[in-house]
Amino acid sequence: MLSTLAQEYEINPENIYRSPIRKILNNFSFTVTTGYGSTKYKHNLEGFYLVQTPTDQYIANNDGQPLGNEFDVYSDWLNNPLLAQTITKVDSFDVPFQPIVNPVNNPLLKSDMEIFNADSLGLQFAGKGLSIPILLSLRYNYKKFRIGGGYMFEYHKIKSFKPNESVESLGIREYQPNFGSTFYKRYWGEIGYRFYDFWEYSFAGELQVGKFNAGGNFNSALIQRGMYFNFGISIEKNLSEYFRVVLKPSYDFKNYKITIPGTGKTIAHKQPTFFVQLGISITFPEIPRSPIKSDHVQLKHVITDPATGRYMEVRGQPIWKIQNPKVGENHRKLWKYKNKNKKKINPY
Amino acid sequence: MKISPIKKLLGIVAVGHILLSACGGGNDPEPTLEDQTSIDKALIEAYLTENNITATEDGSGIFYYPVVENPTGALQQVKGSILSIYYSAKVLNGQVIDEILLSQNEDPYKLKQGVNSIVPVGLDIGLAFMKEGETYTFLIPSGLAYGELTFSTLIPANSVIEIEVELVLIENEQDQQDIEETLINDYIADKELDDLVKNPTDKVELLPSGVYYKRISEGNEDEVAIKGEQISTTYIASFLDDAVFDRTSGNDTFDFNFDSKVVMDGLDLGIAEMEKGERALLIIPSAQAYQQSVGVIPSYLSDELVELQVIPEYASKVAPYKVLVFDITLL
Repeated sequence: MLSTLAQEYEINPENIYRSPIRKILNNFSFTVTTGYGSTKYKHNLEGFYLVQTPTDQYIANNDGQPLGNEFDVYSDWLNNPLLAQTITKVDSFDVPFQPIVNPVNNPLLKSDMEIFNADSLGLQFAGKGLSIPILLSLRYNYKKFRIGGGYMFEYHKIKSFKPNESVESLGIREYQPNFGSTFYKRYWGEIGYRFYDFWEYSFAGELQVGKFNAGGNFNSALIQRGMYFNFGISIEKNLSEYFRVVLKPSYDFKNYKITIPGTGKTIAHKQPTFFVQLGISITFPEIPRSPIKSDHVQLKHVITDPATGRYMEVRGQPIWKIQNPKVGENHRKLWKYKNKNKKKINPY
Repeated sequence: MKISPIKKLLGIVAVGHILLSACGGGNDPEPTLEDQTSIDKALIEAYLTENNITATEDGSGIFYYPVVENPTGALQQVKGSILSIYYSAKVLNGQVIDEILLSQNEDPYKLKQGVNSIVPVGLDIGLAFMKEGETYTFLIPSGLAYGELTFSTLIPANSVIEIEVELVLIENEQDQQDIEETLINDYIADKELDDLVKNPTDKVELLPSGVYYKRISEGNEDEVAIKGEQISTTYIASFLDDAVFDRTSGNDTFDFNFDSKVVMDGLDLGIAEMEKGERALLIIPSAQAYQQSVGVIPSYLSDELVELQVIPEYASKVAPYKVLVFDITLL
């Protein structure tokens, strides 16, 4: 029995006191990360006309009939579609208005309002946004599985949206959202599985399913949004049993539909995001630090608790030190000699 | 030799450009305006050489040569003569797209030269060279004809137009007014508008402005439109041959600010005589309506040209020098 212990103290492991609370807490890990996110927005204006004036862009309902001379137009169909105005089109060059001087190719004839049928043009807009996320999550570890939840706050900057290439020659301008930056929030549940360990590195696949909330620039009353999904690989460098650095690339699948009031129609927006996040993850330690000030032992070890007189195991160094390979521990950098040394008893 | 990093970078950029332009080869850019002008010029010159014709090139780019000359013929005013012409227009080396011929006993086509009221623009330029009684042929490059406009299989995009024109009569505005006066008097007699049994309630009155006004039914006494007031009307507009070219439909009204230079003069002048609730007939000579409008050859291109914002919409409904008849109710 004693021979199974690392240190050959004559201590029965059963006599070592272990805090039951710490034992439970030890299954939980807490993660904080930040990084960078790149969002690709995309939507098409199926069922609408794009109405472009020298200063603004609007959409108007396309119910299969020509627009006529009086129609409603809506602005900001990305985030807050509102009835902008009712346009009354008067062709002041029709009968019985005044004739004009120099009628042929007269610049006055050039209407300043252009109307594009999005259906026949297949008009789409695509844009980009950049995010700086701050993520907090808590998970429960069971063997190689993990289950948990989290919250993320994103500072998001949005750029103008380009129309698709096939309509490039028509003079459709870029769509400019009515805000430059906003805040996004989300909370989720997640499951994951640590599928590979390599030296001090661990790799885990993680799937988040949760709720995404766009900021105040988005009119939540008009937006229908389902759950979002995020899949990522968490690459963790374990610096000790409790402490690790996390690098996580992940990809969001999220969409929403926005109702254009007064038309009964919606526009579907795709909003996927690619994130790269870097941060730290801490697991609650199973054993405390040594209460003895002069105790500078580097490995975890058993002491007699000066307060209670019980045996207790205490932590060593907070961050692992790699041993000199000549002394004993296999060193990762010698891995390359594995083949050359394969005839040796210990081929590293 | 040591190459500085900036030179290297420039080199990479230059190579990139060459590659990009090489890749773009499958998708030739549209010929620019200048390219098209020189293509058209080459076409015209080849045509002239082939047919052994000597033509004069105008600075604008049109080519012309006389077919029948009349050195003693009447000259046009510098600008703004009303010309009556017969013509035959075709796509160069192609089929006839439009013609009005004396040989077929048709009325000549009337248009006003030199006031930017003729399509093709090249014809407007060319007509200035002609004297009364002469016949000229004009070769008009696409830029001064219909440009990229395509009309069924008849007119391909960027067509050079060959048009032979016989100028039969040169008139001025006064001549035209006299002609219209005769036409209107014939119309009044023909319709028996002065027969108050058949056509109540008042006789046709010639207003000092030249507009003819006939009350059909009475309105509210002494209730007239005042300058700047927004008024509502319903109307049916036709030509002297009774062809309706415009009207208010159903319950729609046509609303405008009275006497504010919004509508054509003839309408304001006629309504000035009317009471609210009154229905009247206004016969408006072209001088108070759309005058020379736009002479479009061939006329079937009008709708396309309106769509392309080349000519005003009224020009697609009212040909040059048309007398208009408005059966109008002031609400």
